[in-house]
Amino acid sequence: MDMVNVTIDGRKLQVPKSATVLTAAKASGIKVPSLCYHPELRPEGACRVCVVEVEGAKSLVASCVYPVNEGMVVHTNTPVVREARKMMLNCCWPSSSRLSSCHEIQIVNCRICGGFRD
Amino acid sequence: MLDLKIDYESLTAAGAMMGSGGLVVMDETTCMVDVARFFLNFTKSESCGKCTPCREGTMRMLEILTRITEGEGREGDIELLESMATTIKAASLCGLGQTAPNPVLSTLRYFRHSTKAHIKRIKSVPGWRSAQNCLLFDH
Repeated sequence: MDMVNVTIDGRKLQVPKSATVLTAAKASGIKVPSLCYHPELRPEGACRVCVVEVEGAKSLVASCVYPVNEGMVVHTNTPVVREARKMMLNCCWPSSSRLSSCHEIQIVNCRICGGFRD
Repeated sequence: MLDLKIDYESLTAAGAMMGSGGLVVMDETTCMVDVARFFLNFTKSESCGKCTPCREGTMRMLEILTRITEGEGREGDIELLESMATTIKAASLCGLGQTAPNPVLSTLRYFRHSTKAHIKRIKSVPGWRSAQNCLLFDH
């Protein structure tokens, strides 16, 4: 199998060429939250909860549909990424935007915002 | 602004874009908050609905702007609009969502005082006349 070298959150990884950023991160134990992604379904990249920063990319990318490239550098837990994920959930959550904020319901190890209580 | 060059770079720097190359001429009696609401209503309707930031984000921003134009604006609305606009631009899938908040951001950049006046319901803003269908119009 063809392998490519990528750096995710400072960790240098060798992943199959056919992988997406999300599957590469998951395979190496880096948690990236997702909502519309399911391994048995064709990835859509619609909910944007799994967005990550890829160096050199114009905007945030949905990791579930973004293929890995040789030498790619990915950041999965920056302030911009956390802010975007929180907004996605706030927007998706029906009727009460307040409920989805982990800060307000006091979830310390929140996977969406990265577990920060700032 | 009147000396602005009509090329891609200058328009982008001003927070506008070339589009079809059309120009809309307005005078000081146009309510700029209502203009932002008008353009956001257009992009909200044009959104295909696939990705969350464009589908839900433009809808929420439109709700906030509509509230402001109806005199129900709240403290913090401007900051909320700006933070949502930045995220929608960064996280949307295609060019529509990535540019949809631009009219809101540029009206906030050049006519922030007008939006503030709507929120505080201050009727007289120096150097600026309110539009006839605007809540700040002095009846």
